[in-house]
Amino acid sequence: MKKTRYKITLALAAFLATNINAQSVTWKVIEDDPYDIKNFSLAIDPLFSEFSGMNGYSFGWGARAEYMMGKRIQAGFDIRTGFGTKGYLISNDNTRNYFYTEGSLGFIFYNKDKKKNVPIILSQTTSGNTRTTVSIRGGVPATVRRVTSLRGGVYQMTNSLSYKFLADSLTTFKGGASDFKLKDSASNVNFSGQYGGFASTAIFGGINFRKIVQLLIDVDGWGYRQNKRYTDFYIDGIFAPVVLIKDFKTPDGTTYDVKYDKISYFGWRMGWVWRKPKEQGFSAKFEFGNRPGPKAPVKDPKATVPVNFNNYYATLTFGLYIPLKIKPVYKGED
Amino acid sequence: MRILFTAVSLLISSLFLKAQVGINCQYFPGLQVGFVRVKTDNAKLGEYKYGAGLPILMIDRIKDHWYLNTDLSALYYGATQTNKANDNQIKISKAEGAFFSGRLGYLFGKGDQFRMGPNINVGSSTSNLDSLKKTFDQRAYTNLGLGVVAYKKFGKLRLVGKVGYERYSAKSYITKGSGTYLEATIAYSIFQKYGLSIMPSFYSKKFEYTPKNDATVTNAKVKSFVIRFGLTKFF
Repeated sequence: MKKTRYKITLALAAFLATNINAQSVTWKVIEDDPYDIKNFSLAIDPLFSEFSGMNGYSFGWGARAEYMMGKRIQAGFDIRTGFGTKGYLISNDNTRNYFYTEGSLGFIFYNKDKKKNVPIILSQTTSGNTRTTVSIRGGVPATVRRVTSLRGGVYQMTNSLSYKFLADSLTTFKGGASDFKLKDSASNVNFSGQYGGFASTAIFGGINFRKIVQLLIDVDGWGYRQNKRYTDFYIDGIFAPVVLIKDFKTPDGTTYDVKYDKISYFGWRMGWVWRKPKEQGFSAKFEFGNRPGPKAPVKDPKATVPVNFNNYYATLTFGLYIPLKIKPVYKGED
Repeated sequence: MRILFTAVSLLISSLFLKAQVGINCQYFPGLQVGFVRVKTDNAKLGEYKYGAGLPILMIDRIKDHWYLNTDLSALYYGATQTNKANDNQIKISKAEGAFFSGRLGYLFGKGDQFRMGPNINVGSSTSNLDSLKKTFDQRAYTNLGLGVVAYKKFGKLRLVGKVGYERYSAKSYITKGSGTYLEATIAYSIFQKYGLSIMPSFYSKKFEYTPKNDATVTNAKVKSFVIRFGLTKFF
């Protein structure tokens, strides 16, 4: 009996030792002001990469700027140019290098803060396939600032365009001796494997959600821990009055006007941007969506026009940013 | 109680007011000008000289007692030449230096005026020993080395000097390889915590290797002098 009691006690102790969840942590708040930020940032992106249905991929460099002017105005600028664009040949004037530039202006209609618990990680270790994270249970109360704006802007872009992604029935080459389709009657593809050029100018408008947290605490027995973020999430609708496919010139000098019968002038996108509120460091932006461009062919006349997956794209940019405090700066309600 | 609170406040303040020493030179991307000269004893390759690849990707950082360098310059330069390479528009590949290389050092010293210490270097680098046109056709070698780094502050100006020795190895084509480097950084604060840095650098490398399209064992001397320009954050 004594032996059994001893075994039960030992098992209970072992169970408790491996399942202790109670946590007693005290901390002192060192910094918790989401208004004490650098409201301007300039990012120099040494590398962006974009995957799109139009040409496959492009990568290159770019720059981004973002400015929150006072309480109500927000402005943005983004420029990218490719140094590795699939399908683009410098010597082939039919093709176009990847280039993208946009400017936007936003009206901030919500610029307030609330107390909310945010997670604080005390330690994180990885051993083999197991990662152990110790965090303050329930998080730590922090001032979370939310800035919501309606924004609009203009973008202009060029890219190479793979002809194999164009629909045969909708593509016409006008010029030379006679007009012809992408495929002839014997199903031979004209200009098979060729790349052309694409250009588009569009206006966009949408909503931008910004979240700013700047919490620094001194945790007893752990030292300084922080939760600092300056993140954006946006959704835009796009309308492109200009969607062009570049003329195609053959080696014998004949120029063909490449016509595509059905163009989708509308598109959409959503994206995320990350940086720190005050410190200089790395910034990233991820965006995906469906740009205006050639429509997919309707195989069944009764069916609605399907989505052209070749107009889908995803972009990731990454670079160093310099944050600056430039007047006017909104410091919150007194 | 009030004394205790004041003491704790002062302690916390002192931690934040601790002298921040150093600079973070961010050639991310940065620019460089200069030249590279490759002199071989192989009649087919001879001697050739070319301008240094313009864009670089490097972070060279001293903070408190630590020195950290991360260099991807040759890799990045290669990537920036993709459109040109695809169209056979490159006369000679200018990829020289690190594909992915790093340095780690510890600087001894007190105060924020002067610090100095040793560093170790390790990474994968490349030199155009075969007079190739395409950047990614170049072969990599491992670089391992030791160096000394010194830091000095003069008002708004910060100076860093680096000197080191490296051994180069690649079983497939290098039988002997070594080199030295001398780098200096001059950084000047311009606006708030930010400024510009200029890094004049000299590299001298010697290789005994087998060229890509020739079985003759060849000796080569690679000398390069470049001046780099980049943004700098001051601590």
